[in-house]
Amino acid sequence: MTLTVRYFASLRDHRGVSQETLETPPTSVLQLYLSLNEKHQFPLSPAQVRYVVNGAYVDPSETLQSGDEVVFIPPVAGG
Amino acid sequence: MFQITHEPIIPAEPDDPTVGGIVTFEGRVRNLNEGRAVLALEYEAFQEMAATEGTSLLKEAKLKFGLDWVAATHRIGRLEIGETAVWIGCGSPHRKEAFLACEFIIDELKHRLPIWKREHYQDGSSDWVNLHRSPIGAKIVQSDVFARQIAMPEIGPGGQLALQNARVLVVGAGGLANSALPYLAGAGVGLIGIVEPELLEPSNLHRQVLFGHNDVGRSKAQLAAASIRRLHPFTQVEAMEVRLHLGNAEGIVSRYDVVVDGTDRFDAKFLMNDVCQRLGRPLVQASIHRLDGFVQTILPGGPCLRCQWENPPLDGCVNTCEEAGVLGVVPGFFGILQATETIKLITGMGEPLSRHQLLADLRDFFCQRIARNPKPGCICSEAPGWHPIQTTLYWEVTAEAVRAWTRPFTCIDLREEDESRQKIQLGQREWRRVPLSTFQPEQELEDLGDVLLVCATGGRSARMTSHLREQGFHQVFSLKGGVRGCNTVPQKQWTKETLGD
Repeated sequence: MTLTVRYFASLRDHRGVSQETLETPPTSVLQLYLSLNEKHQFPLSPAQVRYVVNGAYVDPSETLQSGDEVVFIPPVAGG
Repeated sequence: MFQITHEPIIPAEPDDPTVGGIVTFEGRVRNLNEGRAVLALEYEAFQEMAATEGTSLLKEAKLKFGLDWVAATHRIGRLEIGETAVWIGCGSPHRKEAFLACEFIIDELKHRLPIWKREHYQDGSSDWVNLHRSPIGAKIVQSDVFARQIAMPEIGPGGQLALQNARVLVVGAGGLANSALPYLAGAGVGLIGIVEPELLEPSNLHRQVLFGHNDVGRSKAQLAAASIRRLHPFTQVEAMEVRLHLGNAEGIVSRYDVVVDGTDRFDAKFLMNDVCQRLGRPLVQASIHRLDGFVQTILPGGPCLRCQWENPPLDGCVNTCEEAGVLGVVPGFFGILQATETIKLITGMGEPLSRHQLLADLRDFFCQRIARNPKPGCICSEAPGWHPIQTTLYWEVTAEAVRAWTRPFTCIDLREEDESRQKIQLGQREWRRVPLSTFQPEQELEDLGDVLLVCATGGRSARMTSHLREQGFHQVFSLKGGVRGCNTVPQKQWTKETLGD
């Protein structure tokens, strides 16, 4: 299935792009992060990242569907 | 109304002239962060979500505190020293709620909104500010991984959050560390540092259980880190292939909350002792010899190692593992005790071995707690005080805090039909029994105002509260420790004062 992934802050710096489109087999959002992490060695562990799918926070176990927009949210530091 | 802007912030004004008491908060760019000189800050936001989260946060605050008016603005882009990054305004009929609401909003905003900042330092470098703290409301109560610990009244969601926020430094990657590390990571410690300069040798394998035969010749720090990362993805691990010495010890230790001594040399033990006293960090120390050993916890303020030994004994006067020999179960046993002490320090559970040494001889399981006393005039008597890691799971409240509530509230007892019917008096206007298995939120919570959920030990009420708050029921709280927690002696918070008997 096809997904869009957006990156912010340290993840974007590390990945080098702010957005990319991927082809993946059916997977959960946590599994997606883990497999991208294996390839790219992100500076954040899965527990430090929050998962957003189509504009809403989801549980790491959330199953993804074709066309979903995924955002990995690094630890925030607003204020 | 919540706004995100690139422009300098203009404070909002209420257009309702009946709003009398207004409290505002301004977060400005400081020129210092953790000792580094900051030139400027750059804020970045996932704007769509930041706006919706910000708006729903303000709505929640308005309801929770009964505000007449609330507004907030967060600025993004590059900000110079002294410029305002965030502005919050709250108006309420009585000023107390406005003060509380401002504090609530800034605390929540820092954790909930997808906004990041990059600091630009004087030396030309820049860094994303990575709060090693996970966001409040991170789904720890739902996480199956730690469910069994969270179910313990001694831990609960608050203790689990403390573990997640904790930073533990393990010095050495030998027998003791190999045993302590998997249990620390397994318990959910959020960040672990490992300091070890050496490479793996075959004679290490029988007792250093994270390593395998194919790993011989490689860096022990890196191997241990890789092993922990594979087993426990929720723990971040930093491997430092260095020996701890006078030049680097303070810099390294200052980045952590608790230090675990996994070394086998006196000079290292005394160095850690001194640095931990200076920086105000607890030190969990163990030493082994053949089939016996001891474990102790050294809190800032002592009694410390120098209360017993003013100067380190010379290396060589006591045999090393190489000379005396050792069985793997010995560091295994004491390493687990070190992990236990560390978890106790982080969660506030039980009593640390801060005034005793636990001596154990595995030949016949002779175990003794030997009292330790501080020596007057020792270096530890000047150490800064230390308080357990704070958590801010604000919706999990103690009985004591509930008794001080001023707004009327209803208790809902979630225990099932076959459980105890004991009630407790917390000042509630009503106590309702609604077993969890029949609990229908929309019906039960309709028109109720503040609700305190209660169960036997606080686990079920915490999970339900967390779930309900995510559904938008922001008036729901959970009684920490449950009904049984009200019947037991409260956990001690130990400080220099309480221990100075």
